[in-house]
Amino acid sequence: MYLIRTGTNYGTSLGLASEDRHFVNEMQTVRNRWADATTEGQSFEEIYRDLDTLQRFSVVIGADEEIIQELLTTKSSLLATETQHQVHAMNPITAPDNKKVDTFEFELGQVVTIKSNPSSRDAVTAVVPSEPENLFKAFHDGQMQTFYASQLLAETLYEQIAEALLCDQFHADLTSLQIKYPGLFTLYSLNSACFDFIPNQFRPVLGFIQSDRPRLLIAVSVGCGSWRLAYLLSQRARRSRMEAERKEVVSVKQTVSSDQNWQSKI
Amino acid sequence: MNDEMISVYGTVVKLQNEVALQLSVFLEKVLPKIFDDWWNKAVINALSFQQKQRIEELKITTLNGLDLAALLSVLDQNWYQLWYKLGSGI
Repeated sequence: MYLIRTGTNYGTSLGLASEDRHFVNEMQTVRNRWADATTEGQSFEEIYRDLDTLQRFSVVIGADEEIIQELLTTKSSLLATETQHQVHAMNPITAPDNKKVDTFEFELGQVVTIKSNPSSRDAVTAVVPSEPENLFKAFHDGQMQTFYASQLLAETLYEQIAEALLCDQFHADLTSLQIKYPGLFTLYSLNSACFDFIPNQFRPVLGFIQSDRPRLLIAVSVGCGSWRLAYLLSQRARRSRMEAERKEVVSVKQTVSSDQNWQSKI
Repeated sequence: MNDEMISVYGTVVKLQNEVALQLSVFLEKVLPKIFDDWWNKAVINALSFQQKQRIEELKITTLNGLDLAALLSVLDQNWYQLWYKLGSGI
């Protein structure tokens, strides 16, 4: 034990250096890690390090050259795969197996219509693969312009969509939409009160009824029609059988005490 | 775990088994040089209770029959003897 404590490297003639002990301990860690591997797997860094430990340990115990070469090859292969993954992650459009390269929404030369201007007819002159959407260059209004895929519509598709319907069919379509989405995205205010609403009072209510977790804070100055808005909201909620968990009105003192207070209005 | 990971997992486990085989060859070569009754003194004494039980149940009498964990345990427990005695030219 004295010899060990002095740190003299007596194991050198066998090829066992004092620092090789470290690989024994590390091999035990590697063995335990892979024996208890989870379904989540190991990270690239861990796998590479474990393979490196296996390789270095093999050298320490004087393993066959074939094993050492196999470990080196596996390490190189793993590194190459990881590098490829990183390149794909950094530049997905150059990836040869990336679907986006092969499957564009529109082809070169295809006649497209701009959704915001259905009367336009433009031909795609260039495709620029991009994330999150591919870009398409088209000659529009006398100049080359770039559009996102979502801004364009194939001409044939547009013609299908723009098919004229008979009045009965149109009514049936509207009815089916109404049945499918019973008033979720529609706000009916007609005859809901004996006064006329003004457009700005609809906007927050529309936002309220379209949200996943309806909640609304109306914070306006006196005279903007906040009580009308609240009324509209309560009418809408009642019609949809929505129960408000908490309703609270905070107001300045003079408004509460005046004749024009919320309670008297509603 | 995806297919790629399963393939890597299989490769690493296979390489571990190969290294275990190489380790058993190494220990079989060096342990008899150091210990008279090397199987009992260097191997059995270095194993845990469960590993000893497994050896008895399966009637394992060679290092080739031990798994990587047991072989590493043998090497770890006998490291200083190997390092010192073999290093001094025995």
